[in-house]
Amino acid sequence: MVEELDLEQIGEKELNTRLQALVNGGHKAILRNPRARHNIAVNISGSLEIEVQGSAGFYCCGFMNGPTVTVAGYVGWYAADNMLGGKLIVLKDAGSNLAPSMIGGAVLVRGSAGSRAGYGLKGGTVVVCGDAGMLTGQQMLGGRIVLLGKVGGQTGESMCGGAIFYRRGALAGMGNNVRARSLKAAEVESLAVLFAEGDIQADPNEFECLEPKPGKQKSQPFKSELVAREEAFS
Amino acid sequence: MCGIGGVKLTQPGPIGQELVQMMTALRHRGADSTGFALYGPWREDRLIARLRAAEREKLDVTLNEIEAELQKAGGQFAGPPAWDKTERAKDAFVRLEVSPNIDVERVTSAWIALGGIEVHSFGHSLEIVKDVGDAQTVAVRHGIREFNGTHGLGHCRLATETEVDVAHGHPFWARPFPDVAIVHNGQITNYYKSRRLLEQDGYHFSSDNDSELISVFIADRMKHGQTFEEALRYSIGALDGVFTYLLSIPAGIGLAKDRLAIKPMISATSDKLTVMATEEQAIRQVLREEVETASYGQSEVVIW
Repeated sequence: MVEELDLEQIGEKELNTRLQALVNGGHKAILRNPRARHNIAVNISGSLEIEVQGSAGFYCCGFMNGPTVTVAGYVGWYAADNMLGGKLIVLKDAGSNLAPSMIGGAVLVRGSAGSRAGYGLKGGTVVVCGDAGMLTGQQMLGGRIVLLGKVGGQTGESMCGGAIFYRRGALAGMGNNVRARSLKAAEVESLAVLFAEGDIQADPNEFECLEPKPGKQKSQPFKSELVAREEAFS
Repeated sequence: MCGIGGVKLTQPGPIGQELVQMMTALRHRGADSTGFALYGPWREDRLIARLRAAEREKLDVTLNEIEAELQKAGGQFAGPPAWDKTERAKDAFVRLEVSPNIDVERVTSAWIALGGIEVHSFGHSLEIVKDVGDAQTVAVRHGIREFNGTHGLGHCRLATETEVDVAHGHPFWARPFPDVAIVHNGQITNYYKSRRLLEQDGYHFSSDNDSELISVFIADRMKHGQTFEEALRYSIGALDGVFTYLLSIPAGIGLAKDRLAIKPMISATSDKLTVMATEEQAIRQVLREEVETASYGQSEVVIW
């Protein structure tokens, strides 16, 4: 059964209550007139196909576990926040802080992402087909981030787990406590599967990977500029 | 948190209506106060001053005192004073048209010294209207929806640093520069040092809000020969903290973002207007159709 929900007519709480009622029945939900409303598909658990016919606002798919959500437009900041499972596919761009602390599942952004994508990522896969901003993968703990376009500075800052895959030469700069390396054969194979599944035209052999440096971290992401009081006020 | 937005039309039109819709959509980002910087037609022969008088009951006396101070500075009213007709209000929001041949800072200081007066803006084109409450409340009391013009800014405030009152609401006027206004989402951490440097150059501040500082900072840079874009770009290095601000002048609106791009901003353009806001949700109130949007990263400057 296909259920159409018009977001001009219903609020966010009612929307998510109705989506939750549709899970595990082989249903599909079509969301009309989303107009970048916040909190779409937050905390929905179970199997459900959701099609958002426009843009979604902040926190889209936060805490979600199970559904496959396709957003035809953009998503705002913090999409897939703490997502546990399921899939978010964004056909245009994603705002900053994509998939923060995501625990599992997959996020595929066909366009670009803002700064700090995969911040504190714990598990699952985040793919950005376009460009990604600065501090991508900051403090990530696990999972993988795959970046097909240009990538901003301080990538992987203070990460202590997981891996960030990017095209050789596409990185504007690495963060502290990370190192670059070539891909292992199993990783090349795994990326090939991912690209085939996502219909992404890319050669895994062009990619390399960032991983945490072994040993104790020496983190100083922002260098302090303390000066003597007299000097500061001169 | 705060929400900010702006709209620039290709032809003069209902900017008040557009901005009220946008600020209503951003209400969840703060409803302590809401304000608008509105650019109407340019009036070379007069300046429009927007004021708030704390005591409505004494408004007749206050207006006489205001006129007397204006005359001492060599100016005069260029039209009859007007004020909001809100019943049971203790304060009054006054709109004055005055002759342009005045020292704006001298008049502003003199009016504030009368006591119970806040000067919200001076401009040949700019009018700043701000009040406590959400966008609907402010729009109804001050007739914002009826305002026509070329461009404008809006702000809904979640107070974090300074008190909840009209004086600390946004937008801020870049006192004493006519027609310069700002809305800001963020926090300037080298506020006091930057303020002291500007005060040494003779500037006076109407509040202790960091957003007012940015507007004066930019206007001062432009006074010293920098272009609008150069001044905005300079501010990214000179000001510490997290900030995304929109600064408006008669020619248009400028955006500057800090070095870490902590605060969001997104824009969209159609053949009739350009609209920018903290959240896409606000843009979709003005541009109902699905249009391409642009978002901005660290240290970005844009002029519309």
